[in-house]
Formats: sequence, structure tokens, C-alpha cells
Amino acid sequence: MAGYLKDYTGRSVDLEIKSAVDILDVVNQLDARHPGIKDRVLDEHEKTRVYVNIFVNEENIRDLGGESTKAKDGDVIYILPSVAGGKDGMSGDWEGATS
Amino acid sequence: MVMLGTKKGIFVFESADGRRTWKSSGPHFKGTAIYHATFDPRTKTMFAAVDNFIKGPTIAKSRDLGKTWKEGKKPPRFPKGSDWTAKQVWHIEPSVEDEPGVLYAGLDPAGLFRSEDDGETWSLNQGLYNQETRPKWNPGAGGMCLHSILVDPRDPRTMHIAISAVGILKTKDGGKTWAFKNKNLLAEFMPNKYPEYGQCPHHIVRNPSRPNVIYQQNHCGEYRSDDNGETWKEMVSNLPSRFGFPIAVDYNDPKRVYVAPEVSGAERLPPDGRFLVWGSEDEGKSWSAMGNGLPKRSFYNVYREGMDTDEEDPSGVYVGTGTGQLFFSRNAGAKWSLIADGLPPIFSVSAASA
Repeated sequence: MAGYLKDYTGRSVDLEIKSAVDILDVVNQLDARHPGIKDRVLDEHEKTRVYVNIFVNEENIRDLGGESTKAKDGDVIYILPSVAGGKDGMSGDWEGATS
Repeated sequence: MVMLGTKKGIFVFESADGRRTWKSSGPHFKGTAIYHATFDPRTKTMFAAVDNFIKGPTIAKSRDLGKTWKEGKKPPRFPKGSDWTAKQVWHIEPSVEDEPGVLYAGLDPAGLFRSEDDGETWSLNQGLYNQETRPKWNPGAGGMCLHSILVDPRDPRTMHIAISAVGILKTKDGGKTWAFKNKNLLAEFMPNKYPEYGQCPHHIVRNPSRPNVIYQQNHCGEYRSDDNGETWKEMVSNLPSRFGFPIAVDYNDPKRVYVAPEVSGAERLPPDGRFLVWGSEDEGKSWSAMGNGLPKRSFYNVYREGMDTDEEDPSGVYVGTGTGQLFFSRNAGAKWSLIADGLPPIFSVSAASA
């Protein structure tokens, strides 16, 4: 699971889910365990957010059955932002006087 | 204290010596666009409209003046099956003292959300969502954003909202029903120049000293309402342009108003290549250019939330530009000082006494 979701999962970023029907079920189970995570992965129509990718093993669910893609025991599911980059590099505060 | 919502995070400027010197912190939410940052004086809490393009729009709060932030449990979202999807939060408005824990949020598309638990969870205002004309609403250039929310301090059941490019709506029953209040507002881009709705308000503010008076910067002019937003009067007068985004009212002087005109909706540049704030001392009947301390040659623009006044006496005026300058005047625009330069594009400026 991507770091952008760690605010909701705490330090744990690897989760094991058993007996999920499909990807939507996986996300619902995640949300039950870590409330708030669903709203950051899916939109209000339960579709994957535009800049989020969900992979089953190494296949993007957009190329499979979307959120209805079946999840089997042993599958590895990745939730990742679709672009990466950016690093804390800004520093230095302003101090100034105004007349 | 001045909070800036910028394209790359929140900055907080504080002064402990009567606004003579300033110290800043930030950016908080590094790299993330903050459409609006505001302060709830009831709980001394900062709220931020966080536009994270990956995980979607959300609202966060800070109880320690910006040192730490926490997102609410449930961000504003339209109901499952809705024809709308939440794109951005444009404005956060704390309600009045009599409604502790109540806040409002305006979104693009034009949803109004209410929180009754201090911003932890949000629910959609069904009255506006089911307004009978909603299927015919159209967005402006910036989207169909609900960007201004005014709660009447005398009766919180009375509220005004402004939506681009839908117009002004008012409720008197706590949001159960909404009626258009666009009388006398020009919509020069429409076949009918004075339609019931379809105008493009850019920002509205209430006069804190005279609550029945509401000022509006519109796509097609500057306006004042003297009857609590029932009707509007144009106050363009000697201004160089009808077009602009921000409008601010002096906290202590009930007749003093500020705007930052731009040439037109097509150019969005200051007239004659010089950025100026214009001020009125007579409720918009006449205006004066206020350029002392501003660069002689400058192409700054100011977004709709980019100007605010503080509660000090005399009231300070703050202007943040789309190119990252923060200007301040302690004397009603007679002279401007640059607090900071080189900031990210400034989307919102909110002054408050912490």
C-alpha cells in the first residue's frame, strides 16, 4: 500500500485480507479496519480515483474488471498513486518588518 | 495572524508587536494546493481546504495554530449514485456562536456541505442539491464552484451562497429551500442580460458593522446590497474595470471597501500594466487608486479569496497575489508594505486574531 495512505493505516502498510469477493470488497474491508481509507482510494461512486491505481498482482484493475475484479487467495493487491515525485526540500521562513 | 492558502501549501504569518515585524511558518501540506485556509474564532481552530489530487479533496484542521494538522474522518462527498463527483473544496465557513461545532463547506461542483461535529464529518445540503434548476446550471471558467458562504450573524437559518456561474442563492429556513437573489446583476455573456440565474459572482462579503449590507465582486461589475442580499445596486462608478475577483470590507469603518480590478475576463491583468488596490470610503459610490508602496510596473493578479482585513483599529488590509507576493497596509491603503515575496501562488488570505 502506498505511503500516501499511511495516515489511515498507521505504521502498517502490509495487510492480509482473507475471503474477499472482489476489489470493492477488499477496499470495504480495509475501510472497516482503517476508517477513512475508502474515501481516499475510491470516489463516491465506488470508482477508483483518477490518480490512484490498483493492481492485482501486476495487472491494473482498469485492464481487468475494474472494482469488480475478483480477488483470490494468494493475490497481491497494490494500491498506488498513479504518479510519483516531490520531496521535502523547501526551507527557510520569512522574517520581515512592515512600516 | 495571517493564513495563506497557496498552490503549494499553507503559510502562517504572525506578528507579536502590533504588525511591525512578522515571522512565518510553513509550508504545511507541502506541495499540496490549499484553496482556502481560515480560522474559527469560536474554538481557535484553523481549517484548510486541502486539494490532494491523488486522494481527493478533504478538510483538515489544526488546534495549535498550524503546527500540526489532522484530516476529518469523513470528507465532503456526494451520495453514491449522484451525477456529481467532488472535485475541490473551495471555501470553509464557520457558523455563528449559537451553533457550536457547525461549519459549512462549498465545493466544485456546487455542493454545500454542513458539519455538526467541528469538521470531522460532512453531509450534503439536500435543499440546494435538489433545487429544481440544478440540471440547467453551468460552470464558469474556474468550474462550477460554490465559493462564498455567508451565515447571517443575527439568524443562522438565513444564509447566502455564491456559485460560478449560477449566481447568488439565499435560504431563510436553514437550507431547506433556496431562492435566487440576482436582481439587477448583469450577465453580459448571456442572451438575456438580467436572467433569474446564470450570473457569475466572484466573491461576496458581509459588512460586519451593518449586517444587511453585502458587497459583491461579480464577473460583470461591483455591487452592493442594502437589503440583506435581496436586491443589488451597481457601484462601478469611476473604477477602471467591472472585472476582478476579490472584495474586502474594512472591519471597523462600515463604509470602506477594497477591490483589485482587472482589465477583463479575457485578459485578467491589471489595467495599464500596474497592479493597484482601489478603495472606497463611501460604500462604493466613488473610488480611489491606492498604489503607494506597490511597484510602478506590475502584472499581479489576486484570486477571489486573496484579500482580507483584520480586526485591529485601524483595520489592516492584506493582499496576496497569484505570483506569490503578500502586501499589507496598516492605514487603509495609504501605504503598502511587502511582508513576503517568492511565495507560491496565493489562493487565499485570512487575517485573524489568535
